[in-house]
Amino acid sequence: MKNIIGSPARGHNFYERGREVKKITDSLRNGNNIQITAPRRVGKTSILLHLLDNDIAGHHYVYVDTENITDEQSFYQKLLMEILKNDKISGSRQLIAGFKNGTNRFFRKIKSIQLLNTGIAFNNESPERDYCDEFEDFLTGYAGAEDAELVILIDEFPQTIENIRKNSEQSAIQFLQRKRALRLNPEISKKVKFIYTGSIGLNQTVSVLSATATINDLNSIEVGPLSETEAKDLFRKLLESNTRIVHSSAEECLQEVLQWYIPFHIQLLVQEIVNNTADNDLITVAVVEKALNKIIDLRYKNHFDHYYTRLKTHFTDESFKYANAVLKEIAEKNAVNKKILGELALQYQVTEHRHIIESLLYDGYIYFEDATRFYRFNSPILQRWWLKFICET
Amino acid sequence: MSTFLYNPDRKNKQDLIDEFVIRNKVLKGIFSDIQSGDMKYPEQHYLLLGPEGTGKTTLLLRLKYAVEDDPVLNKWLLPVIFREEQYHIWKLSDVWEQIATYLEDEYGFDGLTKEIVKHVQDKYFEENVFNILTKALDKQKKKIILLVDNIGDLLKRFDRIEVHRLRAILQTDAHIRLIATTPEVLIEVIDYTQPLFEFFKVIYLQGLDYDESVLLLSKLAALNNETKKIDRIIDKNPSRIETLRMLSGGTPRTIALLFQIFVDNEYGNALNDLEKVLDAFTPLYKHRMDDLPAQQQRIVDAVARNWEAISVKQLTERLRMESKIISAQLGQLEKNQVIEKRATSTKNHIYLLQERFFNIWYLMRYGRKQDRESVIWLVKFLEMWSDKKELEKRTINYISKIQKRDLDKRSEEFYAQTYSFFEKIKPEIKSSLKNNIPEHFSQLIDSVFALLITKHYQLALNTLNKSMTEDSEYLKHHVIFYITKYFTENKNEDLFISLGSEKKETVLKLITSLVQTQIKFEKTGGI
Repeated sequence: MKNIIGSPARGHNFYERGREVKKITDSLRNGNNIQITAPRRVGKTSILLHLLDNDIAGHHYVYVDTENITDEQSFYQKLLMEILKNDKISGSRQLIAGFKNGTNRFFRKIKSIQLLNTGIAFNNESPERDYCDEFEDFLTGYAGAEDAELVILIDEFPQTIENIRKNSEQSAIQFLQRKRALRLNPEISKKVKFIYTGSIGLNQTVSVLSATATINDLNSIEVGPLSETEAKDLFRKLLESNTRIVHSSAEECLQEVLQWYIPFHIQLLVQEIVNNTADNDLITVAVVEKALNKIIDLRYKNHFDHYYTRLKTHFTDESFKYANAVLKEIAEKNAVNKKILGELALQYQVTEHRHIIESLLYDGYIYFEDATRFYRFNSPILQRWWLKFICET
Repeated sequence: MSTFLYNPDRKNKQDLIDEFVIRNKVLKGIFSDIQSGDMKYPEQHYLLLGPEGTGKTTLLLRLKYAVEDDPVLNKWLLPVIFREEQYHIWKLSDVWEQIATYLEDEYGFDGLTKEIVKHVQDKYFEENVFNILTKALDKQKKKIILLVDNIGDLLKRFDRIEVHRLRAILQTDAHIRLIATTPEVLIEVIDYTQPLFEFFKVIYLQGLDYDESVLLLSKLAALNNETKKIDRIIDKNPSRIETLRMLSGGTPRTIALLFQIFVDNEYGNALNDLEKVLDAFTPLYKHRMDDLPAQQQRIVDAVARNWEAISVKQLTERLRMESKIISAQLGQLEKNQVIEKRATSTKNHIYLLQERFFNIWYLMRYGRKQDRESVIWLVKFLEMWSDKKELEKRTINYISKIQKRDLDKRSEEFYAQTYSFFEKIKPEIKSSLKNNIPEHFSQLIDSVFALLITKHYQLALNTLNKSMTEDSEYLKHHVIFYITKYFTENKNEDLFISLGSEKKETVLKLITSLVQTQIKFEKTGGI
């Protein structure tokens, strides 16, 4: 298993996320279209690609990254092209038959698809056409002809909406409305499902357009961090594949140093450990600590800097000052109760301070520990970074 | 070797392979990743980050040759290299076209560019060119490893949508694996709103450590028939290597350029060529300055002219800029390894140019030309380069040359001014332990060492503290002080924070040798 950083992990390099995959397949079985939510770097794209690479639950999956798409026509053209690149679809006997014998009235209308010896393929040659209509016709035709369910995995979908919105807000809203109509089309929805995700939040992007109603049919599935057992297992596997020997003290200290087990933090830690050690070295708690210190050293500042930048863009004026003060307080004191947060709100003259706290909870900065009734940082690494770069400057 | 210091891609393949002695760990790490991947899915993309002269281009070329020479890889993986100056690439489709041309020229993909030309009028030209390229690769069952030098230059020419498209391709299409370099931290990679945010595995090319410097110097010596001299220096005078590392910031290209002066270690003539050597650095350093944004240029100028580490407060007064702006820009300069931050006993840090030789060059080129300041760059160089004994020898040599009328008038005056500075040198500026101990400290340091060997740590610290009142500045910066603190503070390496990395390494080496002496001492029953 390789330690892949930045790009999605696939094949042998993907760490099985059984719980998340089950949630998705269960939801699909229940007939839902889905949006996958999670902060950056939790592994959303890797999960989508796992579905694609393994034909989970016998569906036909098509993965499309639409982040550079700026208009509706190009969006549907791209989807159609990518669907037809899938060998199982382009070589499907039912679909080929539908195009060959002309019995499928939807297929008859489509100009973007041509019949080759090898199967069906996207037709680049013919003149311009309405790709939205062509796409809808194809899906309707597909639903009538094919047995296997088609699941279209659309990555970076919120970015596409942003791109369209920059040209025209009205176009973006219409795009979302049409997309919703397509999902809810009774013929299509029998056999075709959509899963959306992206680095920026879909809900937030759509609410800027005051168009939350256009996505209220989506089932929202949250991808959580790994469990402690999974985190230790991943940590060990990554290090062992780099020919390092893991001492039990190194594994045991993860609970203290990471706590919040998102794969990215484990990968960063492993990368740093590998950089600092040689083949066959024994990885002990001391080695982990040293690596951790380096992670929050200046050169890695940018891995965590976005938490602070995001705070600045998300909140304005007094709200920002309050949110920042709350995080500083928690970083310094380690744990803070509701009373202190209330006092800080008075100091910063913030009236709706509960919304700000909720937002910090939702975005993964902090959590509320029921047993002690204290707020704490989710990630001790982030807490240490906060102490070093925000509290001390 | 020096012929190609700025253009390693003009060096022939075998020479480059033979002379590749540093960065082996990085090479091995990336290459074994390449060897173990079949590119069934998109693989890990890399970004090599390091200032000019740290060996990025050489490393890219070495990777290219490693792939070419691997009997398994060369059957299916084609290296395509983009040199630093790709002035004709302005959009993403240009990248695909450039790859197509390369494939035609180097790997016999005949007719590929002709096929592309047919589509120039297409609405989706870029997508179509990419499809043509990937189909051609599929037909020949090949994949590409794309090696791009200074990718920041390319990225800044693309519009945002093109960068999104590039990311989407690299993330989803397994035909191309990218290994890129950059001399500076890229906003495209560190800003979380940018498409390529944290997309690459970033490998930092740091300054060379002691062992790597020795490897490089030995290779340079072999190429210049100076092996005996270098071996002697390594054996008898290793602190000189530390000085070289400090001056050069461990930058391989600077070490290579300073090589001749380095081997001429005793009052030889090479120092007279220092001005010429400094001129040879002009392309490297001028580029470094020119590439900085205006505000950062002003800050670097002020830091360089100050020579010693300077605080934000001092910079605020000198530049009349807000401290907030100065701090933010210093942070950026530190990320790009131009400036080094040193901790102090207070919350306020102090800053200096990381590569001391860059500072010397700056003083020579931009220092005041009118008075004694005109020789300050040479003074700074000699202060770092020479120990007390050597300075004395140099001065005697100079006097003898004057007596023999061996020097022209300009040189005579120039060196007279230079050497006149040294009366005022404070010992604490000097770097190494052995050669720079002022006479009256020798005894103190000997007794502290003796106490450390016999593990009387607290007593050693007390002895030092007692002497603090008199020469506290000197002692506080002396390595012996750090060594003693290391033992009295439970071997906590945090106390080295305020040391530069080179000095830290010296301290750690001395600690190791001290521990060995302790063991030996105990084994022999304390005799």
